[in-house]
Amino acid sequence: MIFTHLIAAALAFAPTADENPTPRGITGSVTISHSGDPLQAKLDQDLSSPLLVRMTDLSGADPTSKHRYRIDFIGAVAGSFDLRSMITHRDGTPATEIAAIPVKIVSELPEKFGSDLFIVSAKPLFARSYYRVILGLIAAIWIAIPIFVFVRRVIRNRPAPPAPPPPPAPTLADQLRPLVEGAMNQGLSVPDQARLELLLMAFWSERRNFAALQPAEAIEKLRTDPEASTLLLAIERWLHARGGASPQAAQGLSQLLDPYRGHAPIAVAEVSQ
Amino acid sequence: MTTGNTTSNNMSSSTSHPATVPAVGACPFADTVRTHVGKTVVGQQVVVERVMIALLTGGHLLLEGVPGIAKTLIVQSVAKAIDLKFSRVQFTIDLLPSDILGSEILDQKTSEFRIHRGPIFTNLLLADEINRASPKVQSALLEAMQERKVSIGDTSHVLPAPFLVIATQNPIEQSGTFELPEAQLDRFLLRHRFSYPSAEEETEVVRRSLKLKLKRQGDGAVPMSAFDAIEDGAKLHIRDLSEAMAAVQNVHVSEVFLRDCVELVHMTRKHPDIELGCSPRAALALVHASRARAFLHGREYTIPEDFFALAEDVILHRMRLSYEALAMGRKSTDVLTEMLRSLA
Repeated sequence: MIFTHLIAAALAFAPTADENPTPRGITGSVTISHSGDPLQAKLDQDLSSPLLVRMTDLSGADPTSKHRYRIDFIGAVAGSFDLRSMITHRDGTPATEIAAIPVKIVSELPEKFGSDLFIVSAKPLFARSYYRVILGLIAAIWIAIPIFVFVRRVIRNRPAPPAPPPPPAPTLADQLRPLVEGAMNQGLSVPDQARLELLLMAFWSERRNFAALQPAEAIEKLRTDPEASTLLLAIERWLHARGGASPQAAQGLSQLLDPYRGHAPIAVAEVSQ
Repeated sequence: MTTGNTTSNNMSSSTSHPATVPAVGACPFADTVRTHVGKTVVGQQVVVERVMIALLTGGHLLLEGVPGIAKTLIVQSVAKAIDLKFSRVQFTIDLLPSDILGSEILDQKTSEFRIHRGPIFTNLLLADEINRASPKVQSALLEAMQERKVSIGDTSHVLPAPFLVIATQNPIEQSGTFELPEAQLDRFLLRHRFSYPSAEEETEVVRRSLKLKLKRQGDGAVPMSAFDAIEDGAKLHIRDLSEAMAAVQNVHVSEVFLRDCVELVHMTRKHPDIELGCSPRAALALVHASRARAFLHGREYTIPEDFFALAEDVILHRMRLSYEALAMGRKSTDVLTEMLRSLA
């Protein structure tokens, strides 16, 4: 047996080692001759191993002749490897009698990209490990959403607390009073003078039920109204005529405005009647 | 041809304007015009007043109303009352700017170009249905209104003084028309809206028309129209108009009145229903038109009644309601009334 092995070793041709480096992931091949026991590639090779090897017997069915094998290999990691370590006899014993078959796997990528084809940087999702938790979360969300919607609707539909009643709008009398005071003291600004005139018109329009009329028509009627016109025309002269704001005119106006001072408008109207 | 018989066309007065006629004698100028126009036209005192306001302030007037309510008749009557040169242009889609302004014509006898002046060289131009002309023609007219001069060829020609454009629009039939944009509407001092005459006025119109006789031409004859009945003898002249314009300049405008006008214009810019408020030109128009109205009513100073009466004609064509307000059915007149009521 030992003799046979020795002969086989002697007969084993030095492998035609591929002097050229083989890129990663690309199939390289080496042809060897061997006259001893038939050889085969190592069984149960791990797919994630740095090197995968397959052997093909090229010599045919005659077991007495010298065998020629083609060894195909694919490197996953850059580096130098000996294919002999991946070759065994048919009985699984290592083929130590054959010469070393050195091959070199090189990476085409720059160095910083590493040399292992199977390194995955991202961590895999272990959904299978936490599926109970995940299902529980989904169920919780499924229940929480309708509850949220329901609660929100209830809160929204709840009647708002009644707002405090707004303060009553100042009546015409309230607005007129300070302006009349100011006019009698001759201390009204131009905007206040304009407001006084327009408020008096509004007051008399209300008094005469002219709300349905256009403002221009109402004013036209007021200017000919026997009661309203006395004051309104005096105000017109006082505010608009050239030299209308003389002391005499102001004195006359004070007398006309006096009934409006400190009285409610209705009372003023009654007084003037 | 029979003259002297008064005729009329139908007239109307917008119900929103107070149709106050000032006491006779308050303003002789206005009385003379009213009397002259009244021989031909029934009622329509407000429109006559608006035409006179436009004349006295040098502004321009846009009249809006359905056909057949005597727009042309009023304008022609006023022109004849003051002895003004009058032209009328019917605006159509194929009108060219040179049809209004004039153009250079090659005189074949002298082989030189001579200027042919268009109808715009007048005192009172009636631009009938202005919205039917293309925007190019509209802008040519409106530019002349603004600058009071026109360029024909290389020469600039000053328009006669006074120069007033009274444009009309039909508010109903809008197909094939070019609506005047806001910037051009703003150049009209006033926009007055006609409505139909009252039953009494219309009865009087018909009654007067029955008195019209025939106009004989040789052996033939045609029925007289209201235009034939306009009295030719002018009682006033351009000099009288110039004096009246000078008198208008002397009408006093108080600070309080100015505040009212400016406040109203400012309100149009703040009102939630108004998308486009009035320009400062509106305040100017309101004050100047009020001054003319005060003169026509025989006053030496303006009063709130003036701007209340004129607000609709001055303000409404210068503001635009928002889409939301229009969708809610709001009307410009309602919004303006609301603003006038809340002015105090």
